[in-house]
This record gives sequence, C-alpha cells and structure tokens, in this order.
Amino acid sequence: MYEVVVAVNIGIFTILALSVNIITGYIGQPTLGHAAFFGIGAYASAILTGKYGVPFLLSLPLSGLIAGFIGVLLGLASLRVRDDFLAITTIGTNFVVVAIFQYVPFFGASFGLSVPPAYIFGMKITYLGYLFLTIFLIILIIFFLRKLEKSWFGLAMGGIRNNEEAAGSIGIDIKKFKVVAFILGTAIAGIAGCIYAHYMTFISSVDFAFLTSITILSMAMVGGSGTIRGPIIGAIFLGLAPEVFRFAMDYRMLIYGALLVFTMRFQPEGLLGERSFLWTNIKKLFKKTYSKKEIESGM
Amino acid sequence: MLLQQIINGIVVGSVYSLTAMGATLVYSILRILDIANAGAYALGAYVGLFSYVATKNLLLSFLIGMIAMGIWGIFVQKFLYLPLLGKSPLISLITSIGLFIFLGDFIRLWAGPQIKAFPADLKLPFPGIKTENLTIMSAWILVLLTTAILLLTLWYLITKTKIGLAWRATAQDLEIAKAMGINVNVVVAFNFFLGYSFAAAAGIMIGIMYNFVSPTMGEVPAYKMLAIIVLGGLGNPVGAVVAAMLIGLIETLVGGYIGFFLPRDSIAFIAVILILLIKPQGLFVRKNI
Amino acid sequence: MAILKVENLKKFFGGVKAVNGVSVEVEMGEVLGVIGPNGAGKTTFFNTICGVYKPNEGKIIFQDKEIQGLASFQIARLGIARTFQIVKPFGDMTVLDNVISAIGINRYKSVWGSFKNSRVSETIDKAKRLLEMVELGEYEKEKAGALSLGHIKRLEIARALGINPKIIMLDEPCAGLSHDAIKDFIQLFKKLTIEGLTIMMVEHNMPTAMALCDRMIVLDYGEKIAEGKPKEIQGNEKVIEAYLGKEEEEDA
Repeated sequence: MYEVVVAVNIGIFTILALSVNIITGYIGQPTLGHAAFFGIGAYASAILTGKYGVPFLLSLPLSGLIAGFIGVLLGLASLRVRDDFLAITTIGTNFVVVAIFQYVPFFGASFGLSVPPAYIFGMKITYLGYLFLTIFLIILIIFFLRKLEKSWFGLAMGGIRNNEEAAGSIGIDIKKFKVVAFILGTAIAGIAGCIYAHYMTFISSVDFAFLTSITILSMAMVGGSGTIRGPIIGAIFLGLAPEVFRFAMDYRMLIYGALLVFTMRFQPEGLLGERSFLWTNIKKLFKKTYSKKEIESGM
Repeated sequence: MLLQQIINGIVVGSVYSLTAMGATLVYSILRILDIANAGAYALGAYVGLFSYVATKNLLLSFLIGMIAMGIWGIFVQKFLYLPLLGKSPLISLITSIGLFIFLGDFIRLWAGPQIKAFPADLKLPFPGIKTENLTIMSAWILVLLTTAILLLTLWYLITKTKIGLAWRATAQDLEIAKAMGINVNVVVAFNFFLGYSFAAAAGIMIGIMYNFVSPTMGEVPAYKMLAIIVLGGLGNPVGAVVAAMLIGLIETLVGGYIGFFLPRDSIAFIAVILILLIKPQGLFVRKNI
Repeated sequence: MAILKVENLKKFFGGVKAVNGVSVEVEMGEVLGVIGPNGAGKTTFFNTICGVYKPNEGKIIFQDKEIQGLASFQIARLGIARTFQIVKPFGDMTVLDNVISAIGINRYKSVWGSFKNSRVSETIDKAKRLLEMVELGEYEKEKAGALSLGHIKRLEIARALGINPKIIMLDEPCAGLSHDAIKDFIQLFKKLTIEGLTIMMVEHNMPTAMALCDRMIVLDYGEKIAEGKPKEIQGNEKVIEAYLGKEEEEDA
C-alpha cells in the first residue's frame, strides 16, 4: 500500500518534470515558479468539483485549461522580459500565486481546501486507480512529446533555444512559439495538479511553494534537460531518494541539497543527458550488443 | 508617525542593501544568481553568535564571522561556480539552491533547530534615541553605522584601488580582462570574499536587531534579495542599494499604513514584476562604476 | 528589373546615425557588394533590411511590396535569407537538423500547422542535397556547435538556402577564414550564382569582393558615397579617401 502512495507521488512529479522541461529544456526559457501552475490546477479542480459539482473527468481537462490560460500571461511576460529577469519574474509569480492561495478566503486561506474524492463512471478511484491513471497520462505525454520532438514545432523550439536571431531569420515566429510552449507546459502541470488534489483529498498553499518549483525543475535537470528520458529518471531518482534514505530521515534535506550540488557540478547535462557518463556508456553497450549480433548473424 | 516609519524603512533598507550587496557582487562578476549567498547570511550569524559567546567582544565577533564566511566564499567559487562558468545559468542556479538547502539543514543539525538569541548582556557602546515622537533603538544605529562603513569601504575599494580597477574590468568582460593579463582568479576570489563577508555582517546585525538567530533565517532574504538586485539592475551595486532602500521603505510604509492583505514578503515580488513589465531591464541599467 | 528597392533608409541609435539616407536598387540575379571602412554601417544596413531593426525613416520595397517595419520572420517568409557576420548556428542540433529547420518555412504556415512531422523523405532529401552543395554531407550527424568556423559558415549558407529565398544576404562570409577556406568559399559562391539567386554581400576582403560582385555600393559613416562596377569603385577618389582616412585614424 505504501509503495503505491510513493509511486503515485513519483508519477505526479514525473508529469510535472516532463511539463517544465517543455519550457526550459526544449524552448530554453527559465521558469522557476512552475509549482504555481501545479497549484492553479489543483485549486481549480478542488473548487470545480467541490463547489460546483463538476465531475472529475470534466474537471481534469478544465484544470489544465485554466492553468494554461494563466500560463498565457507568463508566456506574454516572457516576450517582454528575458533571461535572468524572466527567471526572477517566474519566481515572483510563484510567490504571488501562493500568497493568493494563502490569504484569500475563497481558496480556503490558511486552512487549506478539502477536496472531494474523484469518481470515474460512478466508481471511486482507489490508490491503485490513481496509479493507473497517472501511468496512463505519462504514456500519453511521452507519445505527445515524441511527436513534438519530430515536428516542425520541435525544430522551431530548438532554433529559439539556440539562437533567437537565427531562428527569426529562417521564418520562425518566435513570439507565438514561446507563448504556445508556455501554454503546453503550464496546462500539463495543471492536469497534474488536479490529480494531486483528489488523490491527497486536501491541499494547501504550502504544497505549491517555491521549494516545490525547485524540486520539479531539478528533477528535469538532474535527469537530463531537453530529453524525454531525463525528467522521468530525474523524478524517479529524486523521488525515491528520500525513501532510500529513510533510515537517515533526519538528514533528508541535507542529502537532497548535496545530491543537487553534486549532480549539477559533475554531470551538468543530467544523469542521462546527451553527454553524460551513464548515457554515453549505455549507448556504447547498445552498439556492442548490436554489432555482436551482426557478426553472429553474418557468420 | 510618518517620520518614524521612514526611519524604520531606512533601517530595514540598510540591512537589505548589505544582504543584497553579496548577491550583486557575485552577479557582477560571474553573471549568476547566487541564492547560496543567503546561506552565508545565516551561517555567518551563527558564527558571529558563537564568537560573541566565546569572546564577549562584539567587534571581534563581527570580524570572525565576516572572515570565516569570506573564506567559505572563496572555497565555493573555486570548487563550484568557476567550473560551471559558461554553462546554462539554470545549472549554477540549481547548484546554488542545492547548496543553500544543504547549508540550512547543516545549521539545523549542527546548532539545533531552536531559535537562539544573542546573550542579554550584549550592550552596544551607544544608547538609543527616544523622543516624544520617535524611537530609534541602539541596534538600529548599529545597523546604519555598519552599513555605511561597509558600503563606503566597498566603494573605496572598487573605485580607488588597483584591485578595484581589475574588478571593474573583469565585471565588464571576464574574457577580455583575462586576455589583458588580469589575474581573474584573484579578482573572483576577492569578489566572493567580499560578497560573503557582507552577507555574514548582515546576518549578525539582523540577529542582534531582532534578537533572533535560526536555521531558516536565510530563506526569506534569499529570494527577496534576488528581487532587489533585479530591481536595481542586475550587477549594479549602486542600483542594488537604491532598490534595497526602496523596498525597505515600501514594505514598512505599505505594511504600516495600508495593512496590506498580502504578506509583506510578497510586496517585493509584486514590485519587481510590475517594474520589470514596464522596464524589462530593471530600474537602472548596468552601469559602469 | 529591380527585385529590391531601398529608398532613403535611415537607422539611428540615439545620437548615432548608423544608416543615414541610403538608397539603392538591386537587380534580379545580380551580385551586389556592400563595402566600406569599419563602422560604416554595413551590418546595420543589412539588419534593417532583414527586419532585425526597424528603420527610423525610409522604405524597403521587395518585389513591389513594402516590407519596412515587418518582423524578421515575416521578411524571411517573403523570401529574403541571410547569414551572420558572427555565426549563429543551432549549436546543440545536428547539422542536418539545422538545414531541415529552415525548410520548414514552406511546410507549415501557422504555429498550429507546425505539429506535423518534419522528417518526411522529401524534406530530408532536400536538406541532404543542400548539405552536399556546401560540401558538408559527411557531417550531417554532427552537432553544429562542434564544427570549425569555416564549416559553420557553409552551414549557415545551406540553412539560408533552405528557406528557398529569392535574395540571400551574406554578411562578411569570409571574416575569420583562412586563405584556403576563402578559396573554398569562392568555389561555393560560383554554385550560388548558377542557381539564379540575387545575392547581396557585405565583404571586407577587397580582392574577394572585387572578384565576385557585379556591382558595389560603398558606405561611409552611414551614407552611400559611391556606386558602380568594381573597376569604377577601385579608381573612385572618394572611396580611396574614406578608406585611407580610416587608416590614418587608426594609426593616430
């Protein structure tokens, strides 16, 4: 039972890491307040289902839409404000959104919000049900991202990430692509928020603070920015770490901080990044087994 | 009443400017946002506290705290930030945050999670001022004096000395400064020594002023300082001081008069977002000192 | 027939008049050189035509359509391509992807259309052909950022050609290249002229510019001081003075 709880958590954060990676890893915009959209999705669903009786299956995409809608605002801000200034703006957005959740009574203020359980086709979703739902969504997102990477959109994002002036010179509408990337990243985070809310049955502003944004971002980066495998591995690695170090419960944050420092210092591209130690060796292993097979079949 | 609030605001702003100076100095040279600087703020406060308990000498405690953190700063830049130079800024940011998290927990495990205070026998060598309408605590005078001394020293170092000249060249363009024969490693080390020792001084002063030292004392400053240095125009020390004063005043006045329904700490960020949308480069553009 | 008409173009940066009333007509299919001493405003001139800067005054008419004030991506879509003086490759993408990304201009119109698969055989073939043309075929799987400067410059040309332009603007294609690399570039250049493209070129290297251009304009302090065939420019007193004057300034 406990393992399922951990797995669902890791699953939710995998979705979050994959979503933030669209904005930072693919199109290269710093976004350090992603938990704000995680929270917007969570509160949106809590209120839609709790106050207005909207069924879960409808609330799920709606939460994404609402988060994505606010995401447009951040995307527009990114057109005006760049680089480090944009990074601070995203942090500021996180703080402001959390403050709104913390102090405005409509969102429960400091008491938080209790979230009604979710039903699909009349059946209440169990812990295991959430696990399946999460895994299903992750698979969907992976398919979507693979299509994205191979599409013109993906190439446009790569151009913008590398050099905006050059991207413009080959006909890429930088402004539109940036905003759409923000919409995609924030909407998916909103969907994760919806699942989180119903799964936890209780949410409060603290869940979506800056530290959570850093957790999400560091999962994407520690795993390997700009790839699909990266955020997944990062979420699993950083999500399991506190469990693995259960015995050293008191040292959790110490270890977490140290992990961040050492991974970024020695494997800045991520554990499974393009030129990381692990990935290059995995590729070598692959090549060896394939050429072995060729030799064997050729004989 | 208004005058009192303004004085409050200036005192708060002074501490902010000292704390922000650390992050500004780091940004000027390496172009990275160093959240771990706030770790030196907290750690410095503890070193200062323990030094005072051991020596009962305030000045000595300040010096010990500042020098200890300055050396720590040299260590951090050499083993952490310099090797990551040239990579994506997000990488050094995550590293810096990781270091900050590590330090916060380290302090908690080493010194205990309880709030500590400077011993009650700590007497400042000057009295406060108390009139009918105004109260200026002696701790505030300490803050204003120390900030003024440190900032003036910094100004002197940067504008009037040889190493200050090297600093300014490196801040403008690290690669060219290197090519001109400037020992960039010394400049960066000097820069971090200053930046981290300033953070320590700020931490000690806050500890004395609010009678409060705790492992999490660096959290709010960490993020607020980012807002301030961005507002001042990243890498602009003069701008950082002005922005710090501005935020200190706004927080105090808005908090005191309007009783804002949002927490004080959000004010800095709201101000930053609004100002950045109007002036995307901050209040002041990067100036050459 | 003039494919591009620039009328009294002005671009100021505060008090600096980088481009101060330049007019020129570019004939279809010709090679027009833009030369002048350092700081004459050549790159600013290019950047203003391509939409990187918005002009303060003046008109730019491309195929009878006014394009001044348009964004750079819109101008690219109309058919003006360019390379950069300081190279701007898509460093973490493969050489092949650098070219494919440019071909996209003709494969999708709006952002919503961009979700289509880019790796269709027609597109890949075209990209490979362009790489062959600039002789970078063997590097197609390399990351663009790992290439030498000369190769990156050639990649930029292939990428620019990927948008199927009517005009290609080369900004100092020989800057920073070794003697041999310049010779290679001249070979490549000959292929471009065969394609029937109109070419505008900023070039600092005088012998190269003289050899490759049909006509030239000379800029100095943001103004056009001469225009004509290379032989005419060579003997032009004003031009010589402009260059010599700059040399004296530099020696002083």
